[in-house]
Amino acid sequence: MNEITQTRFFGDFSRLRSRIDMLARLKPEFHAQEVERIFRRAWLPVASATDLPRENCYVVADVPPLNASLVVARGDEGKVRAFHNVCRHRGARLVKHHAGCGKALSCGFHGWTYATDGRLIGVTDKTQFPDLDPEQHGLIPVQAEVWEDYVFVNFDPQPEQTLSQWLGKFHDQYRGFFSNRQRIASYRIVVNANWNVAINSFSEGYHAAYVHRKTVPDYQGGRNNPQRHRAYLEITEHHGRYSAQANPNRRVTPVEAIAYGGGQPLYPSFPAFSEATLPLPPGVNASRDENWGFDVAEVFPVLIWIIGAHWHANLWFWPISADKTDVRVEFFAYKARTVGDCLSHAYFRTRLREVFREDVGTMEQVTNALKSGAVRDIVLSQQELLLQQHYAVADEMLGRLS
Amino acid sequence: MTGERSLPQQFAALEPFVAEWALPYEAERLTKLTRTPIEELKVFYDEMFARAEEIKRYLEGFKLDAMPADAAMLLDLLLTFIETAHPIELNWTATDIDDAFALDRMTIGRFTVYPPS
Repeated sequence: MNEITQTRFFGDFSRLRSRIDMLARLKPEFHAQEVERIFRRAWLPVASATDLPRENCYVVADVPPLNASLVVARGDEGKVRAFHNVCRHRGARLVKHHAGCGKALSCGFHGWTYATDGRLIGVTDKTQFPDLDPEQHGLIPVQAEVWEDYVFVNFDPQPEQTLSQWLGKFHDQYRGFFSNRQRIASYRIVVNANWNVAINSFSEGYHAAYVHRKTVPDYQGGRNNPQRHRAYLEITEHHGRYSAQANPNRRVTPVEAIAYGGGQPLYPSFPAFSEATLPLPPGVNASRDENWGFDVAEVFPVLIWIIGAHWHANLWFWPISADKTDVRVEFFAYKARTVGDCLSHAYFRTRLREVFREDVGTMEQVTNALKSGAVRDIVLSQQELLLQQHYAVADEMLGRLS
Repeated sequence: MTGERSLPQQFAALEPFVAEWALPYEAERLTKLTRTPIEELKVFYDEMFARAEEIKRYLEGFKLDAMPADAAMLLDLLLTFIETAHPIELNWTATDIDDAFALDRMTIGRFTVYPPS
């Protein structure tokens, strides 16, 4: 424990570059390419299976870059499907509220009704449609697959890869981790920032000592890791992740001690890791660091996970345009059974919320500064390799890498 | 609220805080926090901190889904205390952070303490 932490790197770094041209990426023409070549081809996590607890439950998932609204529904037999949230009659938005459960989805415009498997099952005043074949007028499906707690969709009618191939080694390494959780907070912000800049704010830890000096001054760092190097960093074909170490000499504040005294300690308290006391799937704290704090992973292109011992956060960055991003955040923790658990949840969500608000605070400033054209490219360190990976994956899909 | 008791008897001394601070959701707690001068927050913090462990022990005698109204009110008060302690404990000079993203541009979800069924 006396040596300074050095990052252990895993993966093929041959296509990564430390200088990234940014000015071009802020232009609408470039963004139009991103929409077609990335968002219309990638597997996109759009919903939580948590929101489909039973048969015939459904949830609406808006996908801003594609101007799409989906209804994700669990059918009578339990299968999860995704459809365009558009009535086949005149194109009205079918489901207007966020979520619900019921055997049929009815359009408010003229009363057409669909089963949760997408079949058209009711046409009002049907005799006035002499040529209508209901079998040809079900909801328009989009490929959907459930992985752990996430519903992924792919807008490409013939995706180049299966979801399993797209997720690569992540696919089998998080089994069960996201289950048995309770959603304890959610935040939504439309930020006037480029989506790349937005997601980049969360996939490196280099900024933490500066941006978060007021909110979590000493959760990382300490004598053995003064520069807060990631203990572990790995990239796969499309995705990336790292583990951050805890500072063993962190000061626990008095209210934190009260809040975490009854339930599980959550961020920014990090219980010491051991296989016996903290069973985790292989993808979480992948290097099995005893001094583990938390993981960050980017599930390209839109999702960031922040993952701790008994909690995780989902952060989505959906581009609306080249300089506008819909940021959606959810915090999950182990299910509360006691008052002590409620106090843990309350402390955790508010402490992490303030850190999140500081990160979001950087996005518009960076976007505006880059838009000025003063700086054409940015320079990335070894500790920011997940950003390098983000642009390598993007550029490959954009055909910018040979 | 004229003379009406909303907290369990043994915590009657905290009654003056109920109207302003016993709030049901995170968004309301955060709004209250950022609209309160830090000197005023410190008064609430100090009074609550002195009783917090005692409140916790009292509330732990109840099940989450079967809490009497006065205990539920006390829990809201305790949760507001937990969620608003950061400016005091982290030595901020105000109840919000300068560089953080503006709260009026943020939609905050509403979640109760009860786990989903």
